Amino acid sequence: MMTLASIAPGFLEGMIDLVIHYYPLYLQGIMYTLLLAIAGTLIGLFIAFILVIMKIQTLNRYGLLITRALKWVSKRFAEIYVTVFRGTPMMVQAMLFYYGLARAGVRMPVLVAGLTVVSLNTAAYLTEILRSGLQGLDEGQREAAESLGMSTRQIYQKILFPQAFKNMIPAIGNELIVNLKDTAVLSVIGTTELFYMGRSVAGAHYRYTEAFVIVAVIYLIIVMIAVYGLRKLSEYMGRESKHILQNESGDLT
Amino acid sequence: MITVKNLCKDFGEGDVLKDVSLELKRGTVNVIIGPSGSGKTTLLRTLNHLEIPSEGTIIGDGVTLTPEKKVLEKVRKNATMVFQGFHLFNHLSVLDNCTIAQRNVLGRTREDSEKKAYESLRKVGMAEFANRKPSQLSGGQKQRVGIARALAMDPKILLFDEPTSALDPEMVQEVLTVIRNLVSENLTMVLVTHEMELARDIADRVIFMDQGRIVEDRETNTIFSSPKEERTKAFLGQFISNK
Repeated sequence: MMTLASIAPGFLEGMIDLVIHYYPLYLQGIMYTLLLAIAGTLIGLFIAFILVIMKIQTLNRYGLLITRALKWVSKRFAEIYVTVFRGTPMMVQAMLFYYGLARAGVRMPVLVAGLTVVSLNTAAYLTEILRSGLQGLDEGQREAAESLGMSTRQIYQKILFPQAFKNMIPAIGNELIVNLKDTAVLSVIGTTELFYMGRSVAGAHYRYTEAFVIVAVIYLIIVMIAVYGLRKLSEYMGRESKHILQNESGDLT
Repeated sequence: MITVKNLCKDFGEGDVLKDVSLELKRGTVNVIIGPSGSGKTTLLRTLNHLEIPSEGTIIGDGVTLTPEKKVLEKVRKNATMVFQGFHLFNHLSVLDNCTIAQRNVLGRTREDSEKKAYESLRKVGMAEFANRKPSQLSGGQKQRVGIARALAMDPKILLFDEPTSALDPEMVQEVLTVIRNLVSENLTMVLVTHEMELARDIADRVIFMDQGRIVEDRETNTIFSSPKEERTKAFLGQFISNK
């Protein structure tokens, strides 16, 4: 039998004792939460770039039958993808993904499974953000590039994405902030991020309030640092940080 | 150089172009005039397939235009457009606006493309603004950069879609001067414009359109001095009486 640390009965003293005895668990939780949120947002962004290209294709009657068919299939796929991932809770997605794979005989490490779910989920939201960013651009930008003979790929790469991306930075930052907090739901599949660790500590001594006050404070600090960093980034990019500031207050409520 | 045969365009709410046929000769300046909604901009845009015709063919240098990628990219390389709304690439400097297509479409090196860009920018008097962003320019300056961007591609044909219509009156002249100076370059030009004086001064030929059809298509001098059709007369008369 492992002997449990003794935790003082008072609220504040209890909290201090929990931190002293369990800080390695909290630290590991912080690491995992940061990893999941940051890597998940970046991977999600990468996937979103691909999805948005699939989604905004215009179907027309020109070209080979096979290319038209591929266009149609990929466009529908992207549409369904976005609808499904935005239309179901990430917690449910995590359960289905992890246990679905397990049922098929694939045992995936929970961290990898968690990261996959965050990335796929984020991709759906960022696809929509990218899409509106692209469609918000003046149609003339595309026309001008077309009239100069640029290929569709060059037009996206050199003309449209750079402009849409710049406008999107506040929205991507927002997605990161959402992910910092929402990765908590991955605890349902046993990913040892901050919330999971908080529950472990709490369960060990039946000191839920104390353990989760610590968790809440840590989340708050991480998010505040992220908000500050994103604001600096967006100032650095020479843009007004109005968007982030507005969304920040919306998020923290 | 360009042959347009029986061109029709239908946006789904009636025909915008009705059976338009036209022959554009190399090295000539062609001006399309006509009232709003006459289809002149649509005709111009079909010439490099920014609009895809519903019917009819366009043959440029022996190549029939189709919406296939390879054909389009080739055709557009030869025929570049100057837009009413400028459409400079907002995220790029003036210089990069003039080099990006050279590098990506023509495969020129950065060095060559910048040399060419400066050459074009000098022609429009904008070389000293090379490092500015479009947002730091006036409308007239933007349009001059738009012209330089098109010129830098060494196009065979330069298409102008109402290049001065979106400008404040005091900026129209600087752009018109640039266009006038281009005539000596021996480019084939097609202009859609409301500037009758410009048409009279630089056009070899004037095409008058109304309600999606070419009403009259004649040499500049004759169309201004003795228009054949009543509608042309009425349209031109309107401009003269306004003066």
